[in-house]
Amino acid sequence: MAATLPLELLIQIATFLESTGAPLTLCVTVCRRWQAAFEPLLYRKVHIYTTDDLEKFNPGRALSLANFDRITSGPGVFRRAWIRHIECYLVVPYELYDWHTIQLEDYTTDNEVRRENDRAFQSGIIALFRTLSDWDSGLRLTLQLLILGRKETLEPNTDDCTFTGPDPWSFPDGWIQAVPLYRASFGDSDSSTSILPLVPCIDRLSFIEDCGDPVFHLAPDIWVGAAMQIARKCSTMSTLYLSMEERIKPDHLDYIQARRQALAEGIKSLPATLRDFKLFNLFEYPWKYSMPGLNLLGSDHDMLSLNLRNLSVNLRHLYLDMVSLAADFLFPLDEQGNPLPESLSLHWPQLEVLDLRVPPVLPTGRWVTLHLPERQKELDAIEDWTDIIHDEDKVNEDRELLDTEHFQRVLISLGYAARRMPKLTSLAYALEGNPDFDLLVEFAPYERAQLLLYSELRPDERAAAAWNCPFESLPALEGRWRGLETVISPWPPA
Amino acid sequence: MSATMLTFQSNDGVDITIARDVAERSVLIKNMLEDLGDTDEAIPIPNVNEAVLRKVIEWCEHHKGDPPSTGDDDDSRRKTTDIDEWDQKFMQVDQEMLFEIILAANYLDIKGLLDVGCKTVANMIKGKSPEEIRKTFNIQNDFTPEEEDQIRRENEWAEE
Repeated sequence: MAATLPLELLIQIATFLESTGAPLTLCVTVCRRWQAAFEPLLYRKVHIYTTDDLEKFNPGRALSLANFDRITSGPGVFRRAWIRHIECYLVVPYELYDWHTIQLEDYTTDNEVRRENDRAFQSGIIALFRTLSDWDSGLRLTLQLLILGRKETLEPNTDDCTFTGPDPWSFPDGWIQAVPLYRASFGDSDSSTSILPLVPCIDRLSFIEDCGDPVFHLAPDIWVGAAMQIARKCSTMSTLYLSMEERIKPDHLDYIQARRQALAEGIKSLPATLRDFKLFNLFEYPWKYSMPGLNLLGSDHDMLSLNLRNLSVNLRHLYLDMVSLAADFLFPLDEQGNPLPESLSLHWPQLEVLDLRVPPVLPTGRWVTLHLPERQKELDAIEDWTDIIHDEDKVNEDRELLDTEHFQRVLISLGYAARRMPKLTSLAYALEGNPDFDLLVEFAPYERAQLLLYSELRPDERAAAAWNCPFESLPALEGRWRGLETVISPWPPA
Repeated sequence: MSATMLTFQSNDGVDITIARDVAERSVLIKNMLEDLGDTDEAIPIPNVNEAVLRKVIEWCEHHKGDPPSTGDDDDSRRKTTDIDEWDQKFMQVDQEMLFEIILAANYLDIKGLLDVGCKTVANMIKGKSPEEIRKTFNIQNDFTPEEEDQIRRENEWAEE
């Protein structure tokens, strides 16, 4: 009777069996009906390595790219329809750990070790994309890209040093000499990306390394500029998840600035089909919280804030985690907090979920959480921070005030923007810091909004005008949460 | 007011009367009662014989207080083949009855019972070679040796 059980029930049995970790391969060869039920599950999520000597990695259930290509081509082409998720390890010759080496004399990042890694990265991604380029666009795959080094090595003119990390205690040895981070890239030439074919079967692209914790990931050692060039080739992609969760020493500011610039540039050329964008970052902070913030901009213009705004008007879901942004990045304001003329034409016809968690520093390096004026005066008088940085306990106190005008400008800008988002169901804004502030707005339906504001500050009349909302009726502080059910009138008025 | 007792007729013509809340463990019956309203007549269950129907009712009686299933999207029910002690004993039946219960649970749309049945079969498969699986479930191997060898080689990568 097991042979004649309807296929849907055999698939249920196979799904339960799979959940136990039992090998399904044994069931595939039982008979043709069982093959039909069990084999698709083997292929639902595949792990691919861009190497032929897979056994050296002891990877468990995994395929070399060549073998993957063989069993999903020709007579095996039917297997493509079973694949939902590809996790691809782009294998490079060398594992170069972050913050574990120091520069010796004549060190340069333009060295053979990095070049070899880049060449392997490029040939791996090109081979993968050539394999997938003729797959049907209706397959809608998820592709997750990661880097894997074959063996640990030292770059020329470097030496091991375990004390070059981004924490203050490692400052004395880490200052200047730490080897800059290596991230796989296409280099300066466009030749590699120009031969990278379009891959229309990819629906979701992820540059995130899972590490077991659902709220924390790792950046996958791929230069963000390269990630964006790859994303550009996923011509019908709907979803892009990108992690930049890498701790960076504050004295490696040029890396931080270049990364932000590469991200800003890449966002401009993402496919127009993109609807869901998630970006995870870590707060880029100075050695001490009391020091001036890091200026993340390589030029006078904050291209990232501008390009994110342009991207957002086509999105359904925007999630930015710890990305430093101007207060009015979504809906630009003049200095008095009034809409700029060009802002008035902004409209987000599809945006349903807006989720922003921002650090307490603007891209220019200006803190929006402040010390008391007299304390700030003392800090401004410090000319040389070196000794203070060395001492873990010195001058790392919390900031006590929230910049009132910043608070108002965030609320004003979000208010004008939200009223131009007719499909918005949820808006969450959190300024991380001490003091912090949170704004949560649930729309159900759009015009009946439940608004929660967590702050010691009170929105002013400009914010009330932006939201067209009676903020003066906010209830008294109760654990600092203020709740308000209100009507959000969309713009333009009916 | 809804009737508290309902009568069902198995496909071999036997009437069985049970409490409505027990019968409503079956989504098929629950929906049918909502559509038809109250009835004094025996409701035919065309795909299930008396012996199987009595087993299914026994399971529904025991589980009548369980929270309703949250539907197909509930991944947690798929994450384990653990079966509670009562259900394990309940499933100690001959293989034909086991598969009849699975088919009846599927037809009557009783997710909890279907899961227990499928988990029981999954546990019977665990740790067996293809030949042992065929023997256990009396399945004819319809592959040629060459085909079987080729499928095995192509899927070798997925062996643990």
